Amino acid sequence: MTVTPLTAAVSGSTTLVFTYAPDSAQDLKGGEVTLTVPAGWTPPSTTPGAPGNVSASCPAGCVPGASGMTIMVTRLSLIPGQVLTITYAGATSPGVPGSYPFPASERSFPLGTLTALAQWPAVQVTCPDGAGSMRISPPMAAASGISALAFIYTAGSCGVQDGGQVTVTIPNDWPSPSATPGTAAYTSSSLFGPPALVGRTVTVTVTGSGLAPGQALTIRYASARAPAAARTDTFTFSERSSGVGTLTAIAPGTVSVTPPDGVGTMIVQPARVSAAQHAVLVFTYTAATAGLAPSGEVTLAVPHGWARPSRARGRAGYTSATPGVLSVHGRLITVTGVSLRPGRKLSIRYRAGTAPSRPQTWTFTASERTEGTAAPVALASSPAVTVTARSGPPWLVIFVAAGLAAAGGAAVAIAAVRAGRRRRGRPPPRVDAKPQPGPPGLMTVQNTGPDPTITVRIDPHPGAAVIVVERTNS
Amino acid sequence: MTADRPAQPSSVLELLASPGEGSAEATARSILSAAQAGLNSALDKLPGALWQAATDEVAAAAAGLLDINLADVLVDGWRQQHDLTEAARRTLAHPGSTELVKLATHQIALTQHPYVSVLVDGDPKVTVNFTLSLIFDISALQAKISSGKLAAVQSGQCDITATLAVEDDDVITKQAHLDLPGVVTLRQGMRLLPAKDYPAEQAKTLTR
Repeated sequence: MTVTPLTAAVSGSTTLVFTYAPDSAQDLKGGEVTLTVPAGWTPPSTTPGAPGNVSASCPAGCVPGASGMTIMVTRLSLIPGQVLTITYAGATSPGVPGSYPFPASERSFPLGTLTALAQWPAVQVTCPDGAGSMRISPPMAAASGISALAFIYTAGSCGVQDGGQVTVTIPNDWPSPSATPGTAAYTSSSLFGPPALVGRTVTVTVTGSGLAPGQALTIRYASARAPAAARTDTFTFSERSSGVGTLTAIAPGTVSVTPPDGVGTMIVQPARVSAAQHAVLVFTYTAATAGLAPSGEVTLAVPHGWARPSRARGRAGYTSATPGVLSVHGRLITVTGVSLRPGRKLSIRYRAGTAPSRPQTWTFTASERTEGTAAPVALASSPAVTVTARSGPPWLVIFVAAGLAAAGGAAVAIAAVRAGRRRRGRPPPRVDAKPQPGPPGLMTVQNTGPDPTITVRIDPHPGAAVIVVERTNS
Repeated sequence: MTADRPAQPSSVLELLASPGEGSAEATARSILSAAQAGLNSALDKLPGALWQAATDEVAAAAAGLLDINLADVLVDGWRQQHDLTEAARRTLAHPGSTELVKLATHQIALTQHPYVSVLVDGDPKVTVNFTLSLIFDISALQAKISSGKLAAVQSGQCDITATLAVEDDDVITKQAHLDLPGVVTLRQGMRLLPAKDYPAEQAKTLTR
């Protein structure tokens, strides 16, 4: 005897169709087939339209009946190749998930003995997929910082059965999960052994007695370098409640990536200069809540079109900083060696020489790192200088007038300019090198020796004893 | 008779340098000279006339990239060391308390992939890729923690191995031994926890 469907949702309404086929050498003449409905299911009924209504279909006639939790089909005649179908309609499945066998028996003749079938049909009652909830702890991480995230899944009211799964998908700007302890982004599970890792998806398969309703499962994602830029990243989750279920999305979670320790600001004065005019720009950086450590730095990139920064006094692009130690690499100005408290400032003075002749707004990209080992973080807003067109100078009017007065002289002037160009020739290409810190470095920390860590705590109370509070083996 | 102990390097550049190399750029140029093959392959797209200027500029840029404070890397690693951060949390929670932590032998490893973009008349033409690997093997470290900060490094030894590669070719590997109390200098203590965990202190003073 078989049954379809093989699964039913917990506490759901379902219709089961049982099919019985006699053996190849077996004739049923006035025989009987019985089914015992397991506890928790709707008691069978022969009342049309009632929950658990029982009906039967057989080629040569039969009579369905119900008594207590037993379905019986009597006066049954079947020959090999024919089948009996019993429909158990509108039944409500149990509230507890699990496998529910329907004991079945048969006798071929009216006076025969009811004999249990060798194999009973069974229905797997499952929890709904996509159940439960997931939260991320902590829901925030410092940009470029090493984070340890815990994805805490709490089973729904039905729990998760053997074969169920919980998955976490790591967004692309976080490191791929690793199965190797001690490595970056090492991922582990509090229950059911190590998770399976496929690409960026972490899957924990529930085994044994499963997860009880409300029981928590924690997936840890440790030593993961957060993205360098502030943003909100979405981690997606899915769940299936049993081995026969389908992975179904549950509400995603987000991690807010915040600038590490706060990022300062920078302004430039003046913010507008005239094209092709002499300009001196003063950039003022103001430290944020974390301040600026001497090992930290503030960088400013001078855009092409402006004089290359230089430390040579008297040259266009001469740059100085107060306070701090200034260095110049290509077009990158770096100031370090400064200790700034929150709100304190440092200034970078850039003698631009002649501003670009093309009117437009030029952005001087600024970044900082609060201390030497932190990754550089772009300031939320880099200073910009707008170069404005200037009106024609008086000398141009004079020049044009003079040109009109002496056209022949103009031709001579043009020739002179051309000759001058030939004399000067094309300037040699300018070569710069711009250092880039590259992606955030990968740092790992692990114990390597057999010796334990010993911690001794000294309380502030006078006369207090020294107490060894912790001794952990490596 | 014993030889004078060499001065302890304070930066990656100093660690990789050979004695008497002078300025940072000279040191970087010396380091890069050992990576001529890798550098040549990177600069291959440039006209030969620009190689000298490009090499000079790359050396200057590399000097800046390698000017990494070793103590900063160590402290950054300790900020990920569970026993130290837990001690920091406890002392922060119990003002006035002090914890002495004799830390298990441990290793801090850092890998970075900086690079230098070479621009000709402002246009990026070539990228020179570096891989820097730092391994700190630390033993017998005894640290004093109070107010959530690393207040003192009372003892400890560290063996450092630094490896620099240019375009995936190992250029140079240098090792050094550091006596940690002499390397990690602490004035007001270095915080071991995120700045947000020191609310009262933030308003008063900057202590990293």
